[in-house]
Amino acid sequence: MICNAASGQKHTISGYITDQKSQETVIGAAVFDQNSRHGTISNTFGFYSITLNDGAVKMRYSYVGYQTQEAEFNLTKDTVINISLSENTVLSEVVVTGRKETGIESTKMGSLDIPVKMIEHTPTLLGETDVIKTIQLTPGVQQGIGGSSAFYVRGGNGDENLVLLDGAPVYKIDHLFGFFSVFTPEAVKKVTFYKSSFPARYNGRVSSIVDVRTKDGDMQEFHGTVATGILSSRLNLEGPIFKGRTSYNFSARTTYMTFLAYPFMKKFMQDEFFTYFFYDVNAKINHKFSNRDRLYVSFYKGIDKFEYGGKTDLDETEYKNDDYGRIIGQKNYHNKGEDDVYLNWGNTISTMRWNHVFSSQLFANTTLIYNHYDMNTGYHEETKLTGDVNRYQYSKSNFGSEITDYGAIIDFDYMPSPRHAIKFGASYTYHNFAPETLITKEIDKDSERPDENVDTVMSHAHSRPHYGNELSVYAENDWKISSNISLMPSCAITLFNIDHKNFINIQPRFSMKYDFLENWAMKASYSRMSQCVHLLTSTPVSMPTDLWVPITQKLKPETSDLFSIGFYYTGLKMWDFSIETYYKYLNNVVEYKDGKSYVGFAGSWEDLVALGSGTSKGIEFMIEKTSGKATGWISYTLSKSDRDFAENSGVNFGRKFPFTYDRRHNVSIVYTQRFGKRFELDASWTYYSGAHATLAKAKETVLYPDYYDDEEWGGRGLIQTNETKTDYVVNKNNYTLPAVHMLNIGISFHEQKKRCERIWNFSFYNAYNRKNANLARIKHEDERLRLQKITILPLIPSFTLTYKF
Amino acid sequence: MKRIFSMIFSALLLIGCNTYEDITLDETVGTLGINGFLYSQCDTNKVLVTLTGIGSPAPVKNATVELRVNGQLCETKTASDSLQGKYYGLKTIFNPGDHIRVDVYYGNQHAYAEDVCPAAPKDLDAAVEFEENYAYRDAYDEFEIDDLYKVTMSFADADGSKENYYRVSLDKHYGYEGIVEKVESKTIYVEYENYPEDNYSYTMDTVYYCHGIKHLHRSGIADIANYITTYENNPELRPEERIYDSYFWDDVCNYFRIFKNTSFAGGRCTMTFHEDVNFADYNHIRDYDKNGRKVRYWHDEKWPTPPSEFKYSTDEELNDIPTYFYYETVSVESYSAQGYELLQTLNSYISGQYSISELTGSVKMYSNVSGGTGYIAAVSRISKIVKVIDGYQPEPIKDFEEPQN
Repeated sequence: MICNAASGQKHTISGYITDQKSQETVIGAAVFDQNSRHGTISNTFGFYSITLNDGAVKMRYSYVGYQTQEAEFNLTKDTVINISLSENTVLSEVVVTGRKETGIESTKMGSLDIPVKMIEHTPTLLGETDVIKTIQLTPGVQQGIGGSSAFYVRGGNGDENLVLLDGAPVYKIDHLFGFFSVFTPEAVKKVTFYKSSFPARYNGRVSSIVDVRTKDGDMQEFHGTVATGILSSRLNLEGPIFKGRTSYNFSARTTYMTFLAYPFMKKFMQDEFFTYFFYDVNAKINHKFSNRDRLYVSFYKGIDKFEYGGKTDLDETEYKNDDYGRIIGQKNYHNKGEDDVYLNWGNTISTMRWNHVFSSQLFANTTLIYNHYDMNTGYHEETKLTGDVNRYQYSKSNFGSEITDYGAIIDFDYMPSPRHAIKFGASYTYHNFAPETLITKEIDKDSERPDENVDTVMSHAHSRPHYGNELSVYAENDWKISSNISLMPSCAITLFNIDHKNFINIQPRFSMKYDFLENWAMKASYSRMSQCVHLLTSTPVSMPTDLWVPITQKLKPETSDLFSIGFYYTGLKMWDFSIETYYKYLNNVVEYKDGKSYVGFAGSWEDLVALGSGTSKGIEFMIEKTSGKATGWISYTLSKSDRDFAENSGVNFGRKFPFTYDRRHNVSIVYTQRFGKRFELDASWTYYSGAHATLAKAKETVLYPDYYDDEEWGGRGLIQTNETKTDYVVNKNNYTLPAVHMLNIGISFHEQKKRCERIWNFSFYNAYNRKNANLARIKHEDERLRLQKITILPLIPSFTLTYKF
Repeated sequence: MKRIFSMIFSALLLIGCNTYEDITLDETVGTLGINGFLYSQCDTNKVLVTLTGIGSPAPVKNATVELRVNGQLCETKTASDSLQGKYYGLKTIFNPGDHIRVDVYYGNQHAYAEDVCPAAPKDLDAAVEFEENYAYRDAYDEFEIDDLYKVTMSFADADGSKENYYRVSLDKHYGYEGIVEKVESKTIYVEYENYPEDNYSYTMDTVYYCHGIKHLHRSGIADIANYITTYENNPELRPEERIYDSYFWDDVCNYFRIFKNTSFAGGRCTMTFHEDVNFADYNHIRDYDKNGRKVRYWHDEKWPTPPSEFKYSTDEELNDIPTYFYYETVSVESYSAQGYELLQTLNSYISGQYSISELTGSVKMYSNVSGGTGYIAAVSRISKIVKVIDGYQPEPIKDFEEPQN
């Protein structure tokens, strides 16, 4: 990093920028000296620092949606100015985006700040406002199955997105097989989405970063939100513990699907039961020790539970027969039993962060992370026979997959001059991967056969656990070379140690911005990213049974090289225009080999997959209206992405094939209109070219190895073949599903009550009931082929009632 | 696991809706498929030639099949020599280390596949001993304790300097020499204590307890009676080496018993199998049908149906002293890396892993055929016969008592 030598006497202005009412820190607020024309922005903890020449300064503090504040004084020494911005109550418009950190003024490209208001104004399935659903509407992002939270960025797989919750990676980002994301909207403070120009502090995935920051909690007053919808309800509470010093934020969400379905189950499932529920809990405590020290402790737990089973409670008779069917005795007994099949999964994340201001130019954040993800599925059977027969049988088999991470991160923000914003730091994570564990417990106690009683626990020989140590260091310098050129060189180096082998990845990154005309900017960037975990998945539906596995000696780290160039125009008031084009090369992409898929325990997962490469290229257009009564954006993406594996890899005979979500065209229109203070209309219309699916249009012969058979019993000799038929697939992803388009509408009515605000929201998912093919399969009927297209989500109306107090 | 997937898919179908459309045929129909496991030192190898088709593949009777060994054209067949019209017998003998190439021409299609015949494993040894009260978990995940025969086999790795791929196969030879007895026609009374109205009686035909008058010889991928139980060089079996199946989990079972030399490279591999020979007791021919002497074998439908001209024992034969025998042919086969991939695929296929294509999409079958589909694998094999039971005399079956009316 190169820093300009100081010229003349300089001093630093620093401090925190907060919301005036809640004292919540404001991320990405602009700080600008109108005299020297130098500026900076507040970091993710609301801290800012700017070093200026001594003399008169005219500071302006601004953030979208807040009233601008100015401070004019003579700078003669290092000065701390903590600014409290008040919300802009004069303007009634819906303000959608604040783009200072990631917009035209930033050196970075391919990134987007997503404030909560933007998330709230994205109509979604069942009225559940959702961070991920908003990201899906931005250019370069492809949806998975309609309505799900799966997203694929610039041709990357779903596991290539690093989703961070207060700095900790979230391994499973959705509930209900992808239809709800784990992020409770009321708990979210701000989301930043990166698809290129990745800051050096982010490592571990190769396609995108979603950095979700939760609310700290109001330092001044108690507030709350209660929202109830068709399938779920949410609660958010926040307030001071010690006014002005300590605050908390608590939010929870749960579903009551089982209760709603109970009348139907009672009618159709007499001795059986079905339950499904999920919940999320977010809790955060924030304490301000002084202007130099702050502590944040946050906790998240989210769980999904699915169970299906039955109960037995009846009197039975067992007849004893001889070899010829004659009854020679009977026993009467009572049979009481139960059995169930279950599937549970969830994340538990806890972080502790300590902010310390070493000096007006040096800010540090230290983070400790505990992160656990587990999935368990299995069955349980229990039977108790009493009476003439005394027998107790119990069996339980559980398959589990889990990851536990312990991490420590230290990040420094060093701002020696207005021309340089330097970030550097290091992190260490201890990973404990247990991708597959199968344990079976068996009890069988029969009073009549004591010799054959069983009481055992078996741990089957599945994949062994893997212990990984991940160490990374990074540095970046956002360097404003001149008034119209800025440069951001950065580099991260990661060392991943697993199974006594070290993998070192050097990840240089580079961004530059050139303001070639007023209101026009050109940006270019190159990023190398790497990741040391892979997600093995077999289905387009987000399944908890997908396996997170670490890199091994066979499965090398995946890397990406991303080249981007873009042009930006902000000459029209309230409007932003951008065009970005990119080329991405993915190396060591994981794909199941031909003939392999994961729907059972297939044994060594390392042997089931192969490593190949992928390319993706595209051009993205975005027109965005950032403020006013009507806001929104139109985006269009033209892209192509495919996968390429070596001929001997066992994948598609070495022939290139399209990526599953290689959707050629992608259009999103998002529109929000506010009518007065009480009524809002939100709408989004999306169009995607169809995804790709692997379909068999013919049958082929399968031959087994030699099969011995006796000639006298119809065999034909020593080596007898045994054959059958199976699906014949020419190429992976050989079928392009029909294009998908749909309209989602949300209508909100706001009503100010005496002590609270009431909001009715009516939403219509897939408003014109387009029968989009989400899944497809081929049916061979006599001599003709039929394609069965399965539409999972037709028109779904819903409502949400929200009280804010 | 498959059940979980199926339940989820059913739920998706329940909330969703279906539409159908016809798909036009394309070039995927009529693609040349060639399949074959070609054994070294064998003159009865066969290549299967078919065309892919809707519903089922079609046999190809008059293709031209060429076998090249180390680049030399050794054999050409221009017509199928099997009854079904799709197998092409090859008499050329090749050796481990030879490069094998099979070319098939049909119409304007040309498909070919290549493999290098791997070195054969060496020095196969096998022995058997009786083991009482052996505890194990059967193929249905049930805990069992049985008296079993323990077969221990060992062999030397073909080449310790590289990864080798093996398959163990066990082939049973068992049968009876003699007939146990004949039970004359009797009247059977069936009584139901709680449902006396359902009581009935019938006259049973003569019952023949024929403990096998034939020499049976079978093996099969679905054989659940024998499986690898320990693996001396690696006491904990690697998952892919297990034959263990779980009813619930739908594991990919190692039906073909394939494994690598990972833990014994350059050395010897020792394995034990436990054989349940009780199945032999089921090999009785019983007839409770009062309408005639229709004989059936044990319930396992995979067993061959007896030929209609099945010969019943004569009264004279019934007086013979029965003995039965049982021996195993233990074989170790060596495959190339692509042959191993293929067998892994077949393990997945037989385990039913392709049956939920609604969620996973169709699974592309492994192939090493250029210009078509299918696979050709070159195999080297060594075998040894182990006597498990020789001359065993089972207890005579007790006659039943006449019910007292």
